Amino acid sequence: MQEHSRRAQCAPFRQNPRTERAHARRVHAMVAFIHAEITVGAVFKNGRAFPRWFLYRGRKISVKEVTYFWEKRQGALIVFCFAVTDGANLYSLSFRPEKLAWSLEAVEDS
Amino acid sequence: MPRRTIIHLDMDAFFASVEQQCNPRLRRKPVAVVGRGHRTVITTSSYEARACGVKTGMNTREALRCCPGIIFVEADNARYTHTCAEFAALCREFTPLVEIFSVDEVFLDVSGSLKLFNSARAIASGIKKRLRQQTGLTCSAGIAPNKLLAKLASTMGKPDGLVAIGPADTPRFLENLPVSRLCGIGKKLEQKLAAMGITTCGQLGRTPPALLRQRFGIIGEALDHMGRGEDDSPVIPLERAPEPCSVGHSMTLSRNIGRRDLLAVHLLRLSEMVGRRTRRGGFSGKTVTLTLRYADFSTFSRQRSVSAPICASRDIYLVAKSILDAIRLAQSVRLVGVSLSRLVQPPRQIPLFPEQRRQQELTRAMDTINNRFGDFTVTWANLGFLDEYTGVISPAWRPRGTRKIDF
Repeated sequence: MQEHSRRAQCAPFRQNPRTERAHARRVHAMVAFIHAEITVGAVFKNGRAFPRWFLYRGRKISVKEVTYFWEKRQGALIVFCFAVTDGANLYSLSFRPEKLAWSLEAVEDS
Repeated sequence: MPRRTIIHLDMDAFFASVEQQCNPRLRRKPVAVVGRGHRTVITTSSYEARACGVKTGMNTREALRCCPGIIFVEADNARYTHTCAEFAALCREFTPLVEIFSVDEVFLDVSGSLKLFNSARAIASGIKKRLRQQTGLTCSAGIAPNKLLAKLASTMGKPDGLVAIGPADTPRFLENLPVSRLCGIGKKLEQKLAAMGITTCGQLGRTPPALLRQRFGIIGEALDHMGRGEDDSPVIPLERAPEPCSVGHSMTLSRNIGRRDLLAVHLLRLSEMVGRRTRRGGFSGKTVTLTLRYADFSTFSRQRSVSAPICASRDIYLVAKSILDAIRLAQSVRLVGVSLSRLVQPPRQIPLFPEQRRQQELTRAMDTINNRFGDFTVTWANLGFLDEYTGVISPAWRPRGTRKIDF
């Protein structure tokens, strides 16, 4: 899966120099959109999944905190979404039960 | 009417709190949640940003002037709607009478639950504690004999507050309260009441009902009750909520459009969205309404009725387009809306003519694919170049039924 990075919500602000400051405020960190399947180790407890680690760019990233969990629908399919942090960066993971597959959706580093 | 105990729960700075919970770097910082694109306003802001004067509805330039250190975060509606559904499910563990008032507010009628849980305070405290444990979010609670007072009470202790108003406290509580604090009294009504010398709820309650009825008609009756803190409206759970009277969608365009052919493309998208939701509910409608807002923010609607109820997106689009064709556009357009009303649930009938049957089969096939893989998986070719529609969460959004929209 091709990895691509872009500054989120940047185009409209870039067009107008007067909103440059607004642009800087809006994007306070680099967000990289990944959308790639990854290997994740998770604990399933009390009807919830808790990712504990995952492999990214040859490294094993330990999840320090699952900061948020939500579900979203893609048609009839449910996607379970997790915002996790390793203490330094924020990662967005998703789990698709119909494929039993985990994906890394985005990375936000400081 | 038997004595009731109503709890109103209101999430604190909901969208901003969810974003701060998601991203630890945003916690205790001034954060404002905005929509996608440059033509967006503040949807909500964190308490840190509100302390600097940032308000909902401000544009980003105004917000930056108030708070130069503000951080804008793009809304993620899927997070908020999921959290709302979870919050309502949590409330249902305490009473089956849970009414979702908006994406961040619920009413509970706990009159029948007091024996199980000791008191309304215990219920409200229990829900607040469970919400914080499950999501890290806080809400404010108001406890009162009716919905009107419960909603008022929840605003008094924000954030993370719990305020109770008993029947004996009501007159003292309302005496000097501005009328604008009552749910249902907006700026225009406030001005009309002020013109009559009525600025507080105490004054409203003492105004002769006949005078209010004479000035405001049937609303005068409601105002009279509101001024005295009376409200016998029930808490209506989702299963008993009435079916919608109309189904509609509108959108602010990323740039003003004066060309009819480009406006027509947006009409087609909105018609498809209206049609999908209407068909999902098993409805058809007889009146299509087109709403336009010009660049100077003047807004108007025109409608047209058809002889037989329709629900196919193409049929809705053709009627909306015919309305657009009959309008002489005075300016470029910044907002377009399409809605279908006079809804009925018609009996299933096989169309008489082959072309109508073909259209019906095409609609059914598109719906089947889009239901399986997501909206706009298969769609009209004209819509190919449009940006993905993200939309805002309407106050009418609900987690189930015709009012449900997946983000």
